Amino acid sequence: MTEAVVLNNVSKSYGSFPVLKDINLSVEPGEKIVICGPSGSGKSTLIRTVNRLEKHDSGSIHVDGIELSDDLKNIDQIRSRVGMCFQHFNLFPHLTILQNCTLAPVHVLKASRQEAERTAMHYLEKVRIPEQAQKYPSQLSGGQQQRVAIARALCMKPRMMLFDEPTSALDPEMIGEVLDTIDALAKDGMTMICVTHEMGFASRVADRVVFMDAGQIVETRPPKEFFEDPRNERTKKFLSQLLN
Amino acid sequence: MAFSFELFIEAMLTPAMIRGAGIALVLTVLVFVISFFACLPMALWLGSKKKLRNIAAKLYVWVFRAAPVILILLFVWNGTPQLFPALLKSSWFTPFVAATVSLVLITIAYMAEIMRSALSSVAPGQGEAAQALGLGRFQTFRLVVMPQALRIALPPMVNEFINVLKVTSLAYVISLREIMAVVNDSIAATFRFVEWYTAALVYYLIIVSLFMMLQGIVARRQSKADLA
Ligand SMILES: Nc1ncnc2c1ncn2[C@@H]1O[C@H](COP(=O)(O)OP(=O)(O)O)[C@@H](O)[C@H]1O
Ligand SMILES: [Mg+2]
Repeated sequence: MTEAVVLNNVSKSYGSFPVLKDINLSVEPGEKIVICGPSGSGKSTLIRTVNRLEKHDSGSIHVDGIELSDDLKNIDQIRSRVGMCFQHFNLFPHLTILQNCTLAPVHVLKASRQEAERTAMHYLEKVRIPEQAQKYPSQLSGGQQQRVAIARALCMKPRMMLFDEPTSALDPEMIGEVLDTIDALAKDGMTMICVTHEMGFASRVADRVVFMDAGQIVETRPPKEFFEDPRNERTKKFLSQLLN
Repeated sequence: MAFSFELFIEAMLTPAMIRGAGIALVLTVLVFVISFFACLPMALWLGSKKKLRNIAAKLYVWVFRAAPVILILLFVWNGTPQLFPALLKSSWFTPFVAATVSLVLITIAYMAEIMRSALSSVAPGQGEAAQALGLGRFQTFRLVVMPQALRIALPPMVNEFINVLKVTSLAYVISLREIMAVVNDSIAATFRFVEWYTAALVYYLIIVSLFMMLQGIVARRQSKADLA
């Protein structure tokens, strides 16, 4: 079986500052990975290399068996298989919710408008906001916007989802609705890599927790072991800070 | 000599005057549309991290913002035939064409600045989200970044349109028969300054108002998305 993602000795620097140092990680189809670690440790950069929003300097990245290189065809192919949600949602403010969801299917997958709208409504129902379809993003709450962003990504029928701190820009009362949506997606068998500090969510959903610090993967363990019996000093320090 | 309302109406309805207003309007729209498309690469170069492009674009903007409009008009009309004598014999190189070229050269410089600032105010996350969805670079620009930049650029663009309309009045120096050229000739023949200047003013007011109305319609269509 082809691995969903394989990162092999991946490194990246901004100028002389190394952000990723020799990252090795492989993700099985259907697997749920949670990445956590202190701010600035390279979590965002890591998941952004998976769909080439950031270019890696050395090492190799394979997604669904396709290698990420300068080959634009491979990049396009990988991007259409990998969905992504951002901390600040990044919905398109000039388009309605429905148009946000149909834009890529119509222009990338060349779906008909009718077909794209049917798919969009299906996923908007899945994230439980079909009634907002004709509104604009600015008319929705943060939690609703993030659910739309999830639906928008799903409309491309991705095989894998990347989440970069999907709840950290939300008011506390909205975190639950977004995590529940991601939870449901996980139950459907979606492969996921999720950067988050939501411990409850990680325990519930993750197959493995990856802890990063200073551009390195410090440890990778099942959530129960990770939270109850952290081995590394840096992990212990991070967890105790998170609890306080 | 008191203001003669009759003469004012007569001035307004003179065929040469109506034609002059038509020329000013067509020239303005033409210059505006050509400059709009031509300013896009310039705007991207102005915001580019690539040194050579960035310097070339900045140099262009620097030159054409500093140069007086009349100088550019005369340069294009009198200067280019000196460099390319074939233009003297060509039938297409008319004052209208020379005015269009001159004003496009100048307007690009101003519009590129407007678009650069509008493009840079679109959040970088917008382009990233579009690319993550698989949209290509050109699709991302056309479908996601550009519509948002245009919304920001609309008010300064309307100003720019009005500026272009005003500077068409300088094209009389290369004997383009626009509004002010007609007015100057008529005054030389009649010495009725006030009536003719008023007629010219009214024409400019009409054209500007038309476009303010158009802006209003576009802005109203956009405002739905800007609620909250
Ligand atoms: N475009 C960039 N240019 C320079 N430095 C950057 C850039 N993006 C991120 N960094 C730096 O790289 C490090 C890792 O960033 P990031 O991956 O966003 O960390 P995290 O998501 O874990 O907070 C940080 O120190 C950040 O300042
Ligand atoms: Mg981050």
